[in-house]
Amino acid sequence: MALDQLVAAALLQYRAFGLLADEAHPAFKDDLTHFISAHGDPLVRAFSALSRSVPRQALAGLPFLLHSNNTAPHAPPGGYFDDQTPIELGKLLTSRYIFWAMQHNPDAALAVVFYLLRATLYVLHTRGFDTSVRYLLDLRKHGYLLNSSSLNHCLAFLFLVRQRVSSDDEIVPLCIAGQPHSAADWYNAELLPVDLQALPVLREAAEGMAYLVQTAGTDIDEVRASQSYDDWILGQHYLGSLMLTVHFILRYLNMDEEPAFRAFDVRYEEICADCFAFYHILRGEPERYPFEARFTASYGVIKAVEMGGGDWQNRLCDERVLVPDQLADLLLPSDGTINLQLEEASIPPAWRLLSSAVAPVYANLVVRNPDYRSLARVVKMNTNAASAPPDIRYFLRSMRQEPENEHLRGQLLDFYPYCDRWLFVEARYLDRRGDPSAAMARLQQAISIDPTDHSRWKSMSVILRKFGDERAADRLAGFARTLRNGRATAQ
Amino acid sequence: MLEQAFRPFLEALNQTGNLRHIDGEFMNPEELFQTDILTKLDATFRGMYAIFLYDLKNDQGITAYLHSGSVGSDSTSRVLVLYEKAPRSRRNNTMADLGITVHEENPAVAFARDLFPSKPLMLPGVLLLRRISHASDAVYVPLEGKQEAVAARARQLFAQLPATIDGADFSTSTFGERVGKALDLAHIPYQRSEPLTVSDYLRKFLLLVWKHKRDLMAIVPVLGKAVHGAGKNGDD
Repeated sequence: MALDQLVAAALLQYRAFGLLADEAHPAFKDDLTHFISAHGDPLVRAFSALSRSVPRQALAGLPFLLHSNNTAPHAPPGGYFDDQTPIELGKLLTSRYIFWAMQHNPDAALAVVFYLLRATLYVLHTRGFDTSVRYLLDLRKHGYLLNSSSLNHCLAFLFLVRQRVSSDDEIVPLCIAGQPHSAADWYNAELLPVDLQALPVLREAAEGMAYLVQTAGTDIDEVRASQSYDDWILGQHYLGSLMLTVHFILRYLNMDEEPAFRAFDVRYEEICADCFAFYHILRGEPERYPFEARFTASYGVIKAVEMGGGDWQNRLCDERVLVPDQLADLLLPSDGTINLQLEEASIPPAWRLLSSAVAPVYANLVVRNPDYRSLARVVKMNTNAASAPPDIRYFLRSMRQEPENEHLRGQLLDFYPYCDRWLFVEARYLDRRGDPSAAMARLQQAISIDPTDHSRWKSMSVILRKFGDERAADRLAGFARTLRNGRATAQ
Repeated sequence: MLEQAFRPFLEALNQTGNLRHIDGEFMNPEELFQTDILTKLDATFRGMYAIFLYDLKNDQGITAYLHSGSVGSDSTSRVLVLYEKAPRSRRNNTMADLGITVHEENPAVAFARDLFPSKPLMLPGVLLLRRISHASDAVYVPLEGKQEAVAARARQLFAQLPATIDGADFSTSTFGERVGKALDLAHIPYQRSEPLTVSDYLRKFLLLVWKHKRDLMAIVPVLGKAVHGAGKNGDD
């Protein structure tokens, strides 16, 4: 029960890396190495130690792709998680970063397409054509694919093959040798070369295309309906690349001049431009506190739309992804004004800051500031005057003198929301005060920021015991000891 | 086929070249109608139009049918379908919220009255047209009842339509005559109009809908050109 949050945070962190990492950046290799040693590896080891005690709710409905049957001998190469999917979380996460590394290796480009196509054909075989298209997009959406090139390749291939068979059932036999009997057989299935030139076109591409265009539209709605700043940031990164994929496929299949798709094409192109503008703004505002939600960058576009006249606000909210639904009433009040500089107190908490699961990845890949934990945030206090934040050492010193001072405690996390040392102190304090749930939430934050500290895992095992989860507590305590001993021998 | 908002669709149809604007391709409606956009629509689509006329709030059967999403697969590739739909955005008002009395000022009702001034139409129903920007006779089919009844009648109707225009010689029998004959045979009640040009009334209808921050939804058939050889076998 209490471990749910940790699993969800770990999955979010992996998704964040897959979406925020720039595979073309010269430092990508270091970024990946850093992610693995600072987050991926300790999490994998913790989940492996927990083994069957890992709760699986957070996995339900997520896509997966396995490139080797060593990860889970009885699992198929691709699909979506349900209760029965026989994949251990630790092994899944390991296979994810191996797959990332593979995508960065130019010699493995063909292998990546091969794994992707095999998994997609399995999904097509079991759940139909539309689901296989959705599956490819979901792999990108959840950070399995670092860029869209292999995705575009597979999508284009699927559409072209589909036009050359009279029924979807013929696609798999055309592309896969033999008939794999079990899910595990699929790992050894041979992909057949398909000579597209030699096969006559039997069907319009429009039907599959209509699904792609429509399902991309549901992704747009989903990002606009984001429930947190995490979702918004990751969603914007995903949408930018999704819009490019739809743009590419429309042209590749000669469907871009088709009147039924024209309006979608125009609109998706605009959303794509908005996403990439946002992407560059996030990376190019050194003077702002980089983890806070800000919408002032949309001002130019909103102003331009307003000057265009008519029912601009309405259509902006309907057709673009500049303003999240949850904040639309605040940012664009119904009196027609534009109010992009929001009062801290008026913003729902989930929209104020990135969560501690996403912030470390974002700090490393987008802000490129490894010292983000001691970066002070300017907070408007009750007096309305923005006061300069006190030095973090001042806080820690004062707190030692007055450990019960609630005002100081609150202020510290307002100014330094990712001060993991303090999150950990706070967790132990809450636990002593008899609030294990709140303590667990703080611990999860501290662990998301730095899972290499064995004492945090040790504390988590203590709290799990209070929840009555003896087995998970024992396993986690064992893992904390290994982590401590490992560190001792490494030094 | 998939559903899309009609106004951005017309704007995109009107667009030429690859010039894009920061504020998007929104157009002022008067400006849009100064172009020959409805003529262009006729020239692009060689099939027919089906416009659902109903009251979103009160005609629950037809509302449920149009919101269920099945009209896109029922309508075949010969028909461009238009209908009003409850909008996604929390910003849009429904007609019911505007405080106007339904029977006097609902845009769909006013549109129907303009088209059939002598014989008042019983809404809800669907209006079939061959052309918008020049004279064509119109056929109106009432669609009353619960969702199942509306869906069954709409499917039965759509199934009759492709044969009325495919390979038709309109110099010997008009569109209205051909559709009327097919509907008689299928025992579907209908009402026919004198030849009329819909574009002015449609323009008025759209301007009113847009003014209230609403839009029609369109199911736009794919013309297709990727299939080699005969182009007429792509009905679905």
